[in-house]
Amino acid sequence: MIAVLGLVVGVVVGLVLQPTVPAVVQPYLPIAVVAALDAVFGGLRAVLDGVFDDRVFVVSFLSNVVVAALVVYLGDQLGVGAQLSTGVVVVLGIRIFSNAAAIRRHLFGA
Amino acid sequence: MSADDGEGGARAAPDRGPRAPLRRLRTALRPRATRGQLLAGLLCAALGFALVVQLRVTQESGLDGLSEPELVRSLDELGDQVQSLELELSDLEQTRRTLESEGDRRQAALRSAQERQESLELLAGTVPAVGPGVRVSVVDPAGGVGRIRLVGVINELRDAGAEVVSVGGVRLVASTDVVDTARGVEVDGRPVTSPFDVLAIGDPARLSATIGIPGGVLDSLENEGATVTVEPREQLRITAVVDPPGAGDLEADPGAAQAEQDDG
Repeated sequence: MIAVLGLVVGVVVGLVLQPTVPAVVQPYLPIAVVAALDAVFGGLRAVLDGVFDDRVFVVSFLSNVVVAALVVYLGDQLGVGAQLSTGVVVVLGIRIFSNAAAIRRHLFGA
Repeated sequence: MSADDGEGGARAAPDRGPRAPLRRLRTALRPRATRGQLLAGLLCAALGFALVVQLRVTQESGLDGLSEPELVRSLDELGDQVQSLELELSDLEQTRRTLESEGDRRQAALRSAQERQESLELLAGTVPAVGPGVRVSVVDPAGGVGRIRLVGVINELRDAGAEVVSVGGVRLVASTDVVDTARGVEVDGRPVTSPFDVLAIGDPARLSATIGIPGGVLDSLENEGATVTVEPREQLRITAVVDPPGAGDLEADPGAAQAEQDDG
């Protein structure tokens, strides 16, 4: 419940403040967002599996974001930033899909 | 769908049953102000915030959201595009210049061809001519003026610069013949009788002076018993024309007309 509230509050704050993204963060923000989405879907699945744990969720969320940003940063330094970003997004996308499928099976039994 | 897909981690699976997931969801939605729940809420808030910000950046920015390599690439592409467009531009300008100069050349060629055609038509006697000139009337009651005298008049006029000459309504061209026959003088096969009416276009003063030169044509004609009147005119019109011999040949080969004229 608090998580859902937090999501809503974050969206509202973002809409109200309309901040500009610092140039340093710009390349990593989209990937970080996708990674966080992956963590959130994983957490939701864990809730439905009955194995949700706050600590695990927080750690997985942060590590997802940090690792994703780190991979993109490394890719930029190596000159393969665009390709690596694509790769990360593809992997995270696959995970989001599989988590979404698990959630669906739990909720609808199909 | 491997077992470790769930990022939420695993502790235990306490209850089972078809309705279990929904029950678990309800349990999870119940607010519990534990430290972990608050932290998770905070992270979700951060996610929502970042999501909205990123959406806005993506929507409003053309180039702002692009990474450095992407910017460099698009800059390169634009440079290539500019280069190829400039190349095309210079090509087209070159083509335009070529076409313009070609057009000029063609116009000049056309003009000179037209001028040439006009002068050749006058020489060939296929068009009427207008200009200042003289009218020479030779009244010859005795019939003493023959081919030789007539040709003398014509040649004198030509020498004096007459451009177009007609005798008794017959246009004189390079191929014109003047012959004596039993009935009199024939010019190009057409009989010409007294009074001989000679029209010549050229400088009137010069033409009349040539005719009237002492011991010239005028004197020799009067010696034959003829009366000669020379009448300078500011505007003389010679309408007599000759049919072009094989009109097609003449037009197709202007050099032939030139050659005929040279022969004369």
